Parts: sequence; structure tokens; C-alpha cells
Amino acid sequence: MERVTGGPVTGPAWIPEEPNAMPYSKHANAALVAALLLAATAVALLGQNAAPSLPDEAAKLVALLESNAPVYDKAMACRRLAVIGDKSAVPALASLLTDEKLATYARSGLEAIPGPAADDALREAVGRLHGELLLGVLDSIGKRRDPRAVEAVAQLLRSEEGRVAETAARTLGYVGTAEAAGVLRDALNEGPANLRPAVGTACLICAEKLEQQGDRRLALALCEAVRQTPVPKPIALAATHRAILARGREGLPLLAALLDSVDEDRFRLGLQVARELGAEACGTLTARFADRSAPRQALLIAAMSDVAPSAAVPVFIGAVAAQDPDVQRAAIGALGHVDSVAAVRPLIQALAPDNEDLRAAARASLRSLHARGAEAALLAGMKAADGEVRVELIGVLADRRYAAATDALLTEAGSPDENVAAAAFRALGDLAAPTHLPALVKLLLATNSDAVAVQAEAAVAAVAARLADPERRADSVLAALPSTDKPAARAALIRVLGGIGGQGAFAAIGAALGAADTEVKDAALRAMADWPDARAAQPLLSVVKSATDETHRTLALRGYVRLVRLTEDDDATATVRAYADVLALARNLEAKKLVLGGLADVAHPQALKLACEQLDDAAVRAEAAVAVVKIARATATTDPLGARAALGEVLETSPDQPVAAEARKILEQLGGPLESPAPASRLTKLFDGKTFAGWEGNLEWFRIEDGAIVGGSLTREIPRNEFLCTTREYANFELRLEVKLVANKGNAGIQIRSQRIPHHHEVVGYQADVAEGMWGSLYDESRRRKSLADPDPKVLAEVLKPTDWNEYVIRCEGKRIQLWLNGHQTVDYTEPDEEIPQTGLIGLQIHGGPASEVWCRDLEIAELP
Amino acid sequence: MEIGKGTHTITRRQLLKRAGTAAGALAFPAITPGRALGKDGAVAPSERIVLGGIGIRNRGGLVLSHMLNEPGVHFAAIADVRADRREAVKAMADAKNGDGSCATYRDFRELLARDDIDAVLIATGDRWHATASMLAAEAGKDVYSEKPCAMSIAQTQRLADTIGRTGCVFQAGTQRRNISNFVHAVELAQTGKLGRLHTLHASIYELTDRHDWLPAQPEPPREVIDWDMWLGPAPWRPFNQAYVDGGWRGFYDFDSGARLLDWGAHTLDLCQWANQADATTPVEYEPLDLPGDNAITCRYANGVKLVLRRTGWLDLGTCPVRFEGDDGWIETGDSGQTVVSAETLRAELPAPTLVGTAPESHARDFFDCVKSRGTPRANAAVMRQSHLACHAAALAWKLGRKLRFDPVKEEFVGDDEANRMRSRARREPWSV
Repeated sequence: MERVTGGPVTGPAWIPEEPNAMPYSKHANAALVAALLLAATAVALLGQNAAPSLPDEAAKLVALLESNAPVYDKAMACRRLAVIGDKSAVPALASLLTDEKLATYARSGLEAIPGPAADDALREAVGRLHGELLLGVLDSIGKRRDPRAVEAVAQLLRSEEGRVAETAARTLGYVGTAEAAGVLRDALNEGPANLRPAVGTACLICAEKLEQQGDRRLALALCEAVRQTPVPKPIALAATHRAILARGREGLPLLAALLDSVDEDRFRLGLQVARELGAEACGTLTARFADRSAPRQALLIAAMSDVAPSAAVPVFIGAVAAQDPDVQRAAIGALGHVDSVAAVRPLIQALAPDNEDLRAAARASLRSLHARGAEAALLAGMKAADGEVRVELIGVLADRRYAAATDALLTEAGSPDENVAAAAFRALGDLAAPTHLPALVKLLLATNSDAVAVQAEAAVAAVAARLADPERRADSVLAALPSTDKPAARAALIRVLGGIGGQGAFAAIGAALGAADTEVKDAALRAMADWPDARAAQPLLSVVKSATDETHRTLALRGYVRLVRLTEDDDATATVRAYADVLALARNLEAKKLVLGGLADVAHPQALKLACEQLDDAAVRAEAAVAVVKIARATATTDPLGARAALGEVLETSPDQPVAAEARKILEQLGGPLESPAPASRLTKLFDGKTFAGWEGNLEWFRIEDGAIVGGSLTREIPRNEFLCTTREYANFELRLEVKLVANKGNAGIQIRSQRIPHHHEVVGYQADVAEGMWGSLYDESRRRKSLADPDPKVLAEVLKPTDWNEYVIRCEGKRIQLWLNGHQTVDYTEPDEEIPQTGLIGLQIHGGPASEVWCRDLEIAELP
Repeated sequence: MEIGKGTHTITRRQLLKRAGTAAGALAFPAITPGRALGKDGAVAPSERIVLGGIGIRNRGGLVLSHMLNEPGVHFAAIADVRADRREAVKAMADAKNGDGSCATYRDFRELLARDDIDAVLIATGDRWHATASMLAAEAGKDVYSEKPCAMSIAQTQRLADTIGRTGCVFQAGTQRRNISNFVHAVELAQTGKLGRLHTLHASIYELTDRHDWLPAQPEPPREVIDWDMWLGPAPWRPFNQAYVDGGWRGFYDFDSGARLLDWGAHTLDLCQWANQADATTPVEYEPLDLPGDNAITCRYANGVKLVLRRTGWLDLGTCPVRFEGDDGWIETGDSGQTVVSAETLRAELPAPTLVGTAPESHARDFFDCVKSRGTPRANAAVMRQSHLACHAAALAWKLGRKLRFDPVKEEFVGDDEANRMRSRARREPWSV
């Protein structure tokens, strides 16, 4: 049952931060710690192997409390005893009641242990404790509600000490018996004045308890006693509060008195109590609404609204016409929650445009009003209203999703008032069903106002979208096309078709591309340029080819490029071809730039090539360079040669541009060794430092010493060349190791892309040489038997540590082999011969000859794709 | 030991009525008089709500910054056991008020004794919330208390009873009942658009229950940090700066319910609301033994399941909740985003106007009710039920076994150990 805290505490931002160096781990529940501690103790004491039973555990904890154990241990023992202790633990706990640090822990136990023993102990403590420690005991008695404590606690009412008397009173309140009630009532009447606040509060607490036990009469008596006594206002109010609620209906006259009171606090209490009484209080509230001050009226409205909104409707309606805007607003708000259709007319009146604040409130209420017939009333109201109010009501009908208003809204859509018509179309977009489409289209065609047309087009598209079958959505619009030859109308229909989609719409738009009228043609082109799928590609391309108007060409081209990007699939070559097609057609800079922008996102060697070709064009060189660099970055690992070549071209053509720096960076990454230190995830050990796992060869001449592979011998002549090779082959990789040729005597090397000659000791393949005068050279072992590439001797002299460890890096990538010694490149060779294998084993050579040793360690490899 | 039940059922029913349905506008139109009168939004001093603060640091500072922007609210005093916090909050308030009028107190009882203060914002840290709230209520102040509002089942009951008895207008700082994406999700659940509800999910943070003591450090001077008062009703332990700097979380003595109420006070509360269960609690609580998660499954008497869990949420921000019914589900969180099982449900959702943990709307609800004496959305009755449920779930987790709870008697069925753990002793003299 271990409860262990988690790791770092990083919660939502609004949890206060925690200090960093918190050792939160490994902290277990102290109870468990204590139990384990005690189990160990038990084992020691009792010589048993099992953990103690609960009674045994409790007994051990009691013993601990009686010992000199540290405070913490005792605190945890108390805590545990609160859960498992019985009366046998009480004395030990009680003895801690005088300990300032431990008293609370002890009382946890005494509060929790059932039975009279704990009560007895707490009562007994009342007689001997003083000061704050006594207050704690009183608190515990109050929680246990020990009826036998009343007498002892009552005596403390006379105490002069600090807060003892007050706390004693409170405790009596929580004990809450009739006996306690009597003591408290006497104290209220006869006790000292300065104790009255505490006693008053205690009486109310006691009244609560008594009521829970069913003794309402006594509870009420206590409340009344408090009300008759001079006590601080909050207590007097609370007493009245309880007195009213205890009486229920019979409390209404008292409620009325509160509401009539000149005193603001009493009035406010009345509002609160009214809410708690509920619907019964509504009459009392409404009866005293008239002739009140405006602030009070506003508050009364709020209370009525909470209590019984529908019963107070006449009051609300009357108050909508009040002088005071706060009262109006309260009334308008309240009407939003009633169940009465009578609310509609006054709320509509409140929509009149002089006060934006009230209008907003009226709007909100009309939206939320839940009353049968409300919508029909709203509809009627809308028809009867004019100007702005009509517009508002159209909006409300839409917000309420009142579909039955559609016919009326269709009428409004034809209104000569632009605002009304526009609002109607907006609403129809939300409410109309597809069956209304023909009517909507007709209305769209009839409108003369641009502002309205925008809403109308949007509405038609929105409603059409509700048809399940995508191919049917454009039907109404298509049907209307032949019926009008007004260019503006046709253009509008074409626009709408663009928003609806489907094959029919596509065909119509395509046809309209060839329209004579420029407005229609323009609309068609824009619709085609925004078309969401690949169908539009060919028509757009045709426009690019054939358009005479530059704006149109650009529009079409822009649309085409957008489509190519949108419909990019796995076949990058098709995408590149599409770009190439349109690039050939691009006549101006803007167009070419657009294409290059799209091309830059295609990570493929052919895209790279196409982009490179544009480097020749000085006008678009900058954009082409950016595209090349972006593509090269993406293709660098799969097509390093192509990327390198392209980047080289960028450097040639645009050496001073910022893009050149980017190009250089990538080239460095491509051309040089892997970043150092190489990320652990890429380099893996080729030699584990201890065994020849993964290697094979003549172990008479190869051994492992001090974590290194040692080839040869310093004491014996070496009869012939020996090779230790990997058991698997490698193709493209970067190999790193450290190698030392003892005293720089002898001849050794690192074989790469090599093969063993069957039944022979020789190995065929490239070798990175290790020998005086030959360090850093690339030799072709047992094959062309010559040095393929050599370093600059001056560089070598500076770089080589002849008798010490040198770092060798060998990188094989396609046909290219590069060598570095101690970070300096010694060879950069590209194999011209197609027949030479580009895969093979890796090996260590020690040359036959006089005694010599080569040492190799820290062999690591990162394979390249 | 008696752990009492609530006061009048009529009181509880009425208090619950306001919060019972989510429907309609987010907040009743403001009642603050003078608001519409203009004058640069100025409100006459006699109409202002005078606010005091107790224990305001990170969370409290955020809430306060919004409250200071409310027209008609004037922040007059700060009480804190730390001198640096007293100065910081005073500076914030003085800047807003344009004068040096904000008073500072080490002992919050002096603040409560002032007649001019109408309401208090309490953001002290879990161990103090209930005690400070009750003392404030008895002093006649209205209370906005950060959650969790109480440290145990017994203290939750006592807090709710005290609020009811004193007529205090109380708002728990669980502001999501006033934040639109959560409100709308609850509306969907309540209005049957998800079908019959079967499973509600409430996110919780990592559960932690520490009983160790950090190494003792020398106590600072009282005027700098009053350690005795910082502890307040929590049992004594030696001072360590880390507690005071926010590292008190996860300790049994300072943190309510093994940190379950950290988020649970918000999320379980929303599930109660969605399930229209604000007058009751689940009857079963069963901790699940899932590696890498903290999870407790609860069940209401009507069969609806409530799952408290830490992981497995969509990425919608902190405090996510999820409501599942026979006809669909909805999940939402503090980012304001909502995910629904079918787009048709989304048509029912207006765009969220207020997201996440922003407390403006919740604060405004509180201040409106301070004026109107109405009932805020996260009132004491609602808080009582959701806190009882949270504490019951935390106890089930602590004990590692299934617990059955009687929401009428407010006790565990057949589990004496759990019943003993419903209450904690409070350190003298903080008995309320």
C-alpha cells in the first residue's frame, strides 16, 4: 500500500511553482514507515518473522508514545492510532494533550476513537488544562458532541482566560442538546455583555443541531432569544434568517418586515431569505415592489426572477417601462427567464434603438426566452416591426433556429430595405431547407444591391451544402443560369457555383471561362482558380496558355500552382512535370516566382534540377536559389551528389547572397565528417573493447589488450600479411578509430569495402594506409596495387603524431572515399572504375616483416543511407 | 463523534436551484447600480463593494487582477503572514486605486473586524481556506474562496453549514461553471443531446500523500514570516522555507485529499453538474491499479459512472472533462477547444467567448450576487457535494480499496477505518 510521490512536479501554469531542489522521490507514507519500523521492532522484541497484527501494532505505538521517541515518530504514531486505536490507546494520547507540538496529533486520535473512553479523557482534560491547549480540547469535544460534557464546559463560561469562555460557548453549541441550549440561553440573558456575540453564535449553531434532531420548537426559541438580545448585526441577522426559515410559511410576515426595513442590511437579508423560501415568497416580494427606490426595485426583480419568474411577469413587464435604466435592465433580463409569451411584446419594444445596453439585454432575453408560442409571437412581431427592430428580430429568429419563419424570411429577402434584406438572407442561410433553393436563387437574381447580393450568395451556398448528394447541390443554380443574360446576375451565379462544387458546377464554370462578357469571365476564372480539386488543373493551364489579359493569366497561374501544391502525391515526378509545364508558360516574373515557390516544397532530385535550371535566369535567380537550397536540404541525405552539385551552382551564381551562406552550411554538412561529437544514436561500436565479437582472423597475430585490438608482435618476426576482418559487410558509412603504430615502425592499414581471397591469407580492397610515409593515403590492396590518392606531405607532417595515437576517419559514400587524420582531410577520392565493388568487409592489416605492432581502439561506425 | 448533515433541505434545494441548470446566458445581467450611468464608469463610493484579501500570491494574484478591473469593486486591505506578500499586494492595489490607501495586516482577524469591508478573497493555500472562510462568514463578510475549499469531509460539512447559517454569499474558485466551453458541454449533457448519460470523466493531477517533515530551519521573525499563523489549523511541524514558497503541495497536513482536489474540485464538480447530481454524490468509489496512471471509478446510485483519471486525455488543455451518453460524447478543456463525437453536435455549440482559467466571469457572478444577495454558480451547496465526492475518492485511493458512501447520511458503509478518516483535528486556537 505504498504511496510514493511522483517525480518532478510540473503542473499547469496556475499551480504555484515549486523549488527545484526538492528530493521528492522515495518518500513513503509515514504510516507505512512507522508500521515497518514497528514491525522491525516487533521482530526484535518478539523474535517473530511476521508483521504484527493490528492490536499488536497499536500496542507498540502506545509504547512508543510513552517512550522518549522523537517528536516526529510520536506524531505519526498518533496519526496511526487515530485509524487503528481503541480505548487502550486513550491514556497515552491524553497524556500528550499538554504538549504544544503534539496536542493536535493526540486529539486526532481522541476525536476518532469511538466509545466513552475518549470522551472521558477529553472531559477530564477540561478540568486541568489552560490557555490554547484547553481551546483545542474544547474543539474536540464539540466535534464528538459529548452530551456528558455540558456541565464541565458550562463552567468555563465564567472563565476570564483569553478565549476560553467564547470557545466553551461554541462547544456547547455543537454539542447541541436541550441541556446545552438551556445553558446557552441563560448565558445570553444573564451572562456578561462581552460574551454575547460568542453565545449568540453558539445559540444559532445549537439551533441548527436541534432542528436536525427534530426539535424545531426549541430551535426557534433559541433564535428568538438571540433576536431579543443586543448582539452584533451579523449575528442578529443570522438569527432572524433562521427564525424565518424555521417558521416556513409563517415566517412571511417577518420576511415582509425585513423587506420593508429602512436598514440596507436587513433589506438584503430579506432578499436572501426570500430566495431560500422559494415560490412561497413571491407574493411578499411582488406586493412591495411599487414605490420602492430604483436600486431596491432592481434587486427585488432579481430576487423575484430567482424565486418564481413566471408569477412575477406582470411586475417585470411594468418595469420594462420604468424610468431608471437599472430597473429596466433588470426587468428585461428577468423576462428572458420566464415561461410566458406575454414577455415578447415588451421585449420587442425594448429593442428600440436609444439605449444600446438595454437593446443588448433585450436581444439576449429574446434569444433565451422559453415560452410556448414565443416564436410565433416573434414572427408576428417581426412582420409588424420596421427598420432596425425588424432586422434585430430577424436575427433573433435565426438564433433561435426557428425554421417555420422561412417563408416570411423569403418575403423579407425581397425587401427594398437593404439592411432587412441582408439580414433575411443571413438568417435564411441558417434556417432554409434545400427545397427553398429555387426561391432563394430567384431572389438572388432579383437583387440590385451589392451588399445584399453578398449575403444572398452566401445563403444559397450554405443551404445547398445541406443536400446530401454533392452532385445535386448545384441543380437550382444551374437551372437558373439560362434564365438570365444580365452579366452581373450570371457572374453571381457563377460565383455561387464555385462555392457549391460538383461536376455540374464545374462544367458550367468551365464553359463560362469562354464567356464574352468580362464580368462573367472574371467570375468564372476566379471560381476556377479557387476550385478545390484537380479537375481545374487543365482548364487553368489552358487559360495560362491562351489568355491575353495579364491579370487573368496570373490569376490562372496562381490557381494552378495552388492546385499542384494541393494535389501533390507520392509521384513527385508528376508534380515536377506539372511545374515544368507551367513554368514554360510563365511569361512574367511574378508567375515564375509563384512556380518556384511551389517547387521549393518538392523534395526530389528532379525538382532540384528544374530549380537549378532557373539559376541561369538573372531575373529569378534569387528565388531559384532559395528553392534550390530548400530542396537540397531535404534531399541531401538521399541524393548527396545531386544536392552538392546544385548547391555548388548556387555558390557560383549567387556567391554574395544570404542564401549562399545557407548553401555553404549544407555543403559542410554533406562534405565533411559527421558532426563531432557525433550523436550517440548514429555511431555504434564496431569493437566492444573486450572480445572479438563481430570479427574473425588469425588470433595468433591479433590480441586484445587495454581495450585495444593489437596486431603483430614486438618480439617475433611476422611471416606474412595478416588481416582481422568484420564478419559482415558495409556499404556507405563513416568509420572512426584511433590507431597507433608503435615507434612508427612497420606497415599496417585499415581495409574497407574489401573481400577475403578464399583459401588465402590476403584481402582485396581499399586500404587507408598506416605506415611511415604512407599515413593518410588510399591504397588498393591486392588489386590495382597502387596508391590511389595521397595527402599533401606538408599537411601530413603538421598533422600526424607518428608514434602516438592518431584519429582516423574514413568515409565511404557511393563512389567517393574520403580520409581524415586528426581532423584534417588527407584524401578525397572518387572511383572512376564501375567494376570496383562499393561494399565489403572492414579489416585491420598488419604487414608481414620485422617485428612491429599496430594498436587500434575506439572503433565506431555510422552507416549512411 | 458526530459529523453533522446539512441544515434545512429547503435551503439546500434553493441554493442548488440556481446552479441546477446551465441553460441560457452565462450570467444574469449585472445588478451593480450606477453602471449604466456612465461618468467614466465611476461608481459612487456608497455603491462600491469593498474587498479585502487574505493570503494572495500566484493564483490569488491572478484572480485579484481581474477583480480589480471590475467597476464598482474597491480593494481596501490585504492580510498575509509574509511581509513581502503584504507589500506586493499593496503595491498592486495602490497602483489601481491611484493612492496609498490599501492597508496591510499580518493577522487577518484585524481585517475581518473592519466594518467597511464587504467581502474577502481567500487564496491562502488549502489548509486555511475553510477556517478563514468560516471566520469571515461569521464576521458578516461575503467570501470568494479558492479551491479546494475544505480539507476533509467533516470540514466540508462544517464549512457549508456555516455559510448557510450566516447567510454569507459564497463562491468557490471553481470558475469553470462560468466559462462557456464547459457550460455548453454541460448543456449538451443536461438537455439530452448526448442521449442517456452513462460515463463521465474527470481529469485529476498526480496523487501524492506525504507525511514526512522537511528538515527544520530556523524560524524567521514573525514580522517577516509568521510561521505559527502560516500553519494555522494545520498540526505543528518545524519551519522550512520550501513550504512557504509553494512546496506545501502533496503534504497530507497542507494539501486537501492527496492532491485529488487540485483538479478534481473543478472537474468532478463539472461532472456532478452535467449529471444533474448537484444534490447528491456517487455511492461507490473504487481505485484502479493502473501502472502509470491514477484512476478511481465512481458510480452514482442511478448507475452513471464517473471516472477520475490522470492520463488518456485528448490534448485540450488542463482540467479536461468528458461526458459520454448513448447518443454521443463531448470532451473539452481549458484551451477552450471542444471535441464531439458527431459534427451535428457541434452545431449546437456557439463559439466560446471566454476560455480556460480566466476568472472574470466567475468574479462578476460573485460580485453581482454580493449586490443582489443571489446565489453564485459555485455556491456552498454545490461545493459541498462535489467536495464530499472528491474526498471520498481520495480516501478510496489512500486506502487502496473500494468504498461505499451513503450520500444522505454522509458516511461510508461498512468501513470504520474510512469513517474515522472523514475528519482531522485542528490545531488550537483555530476552532471554528
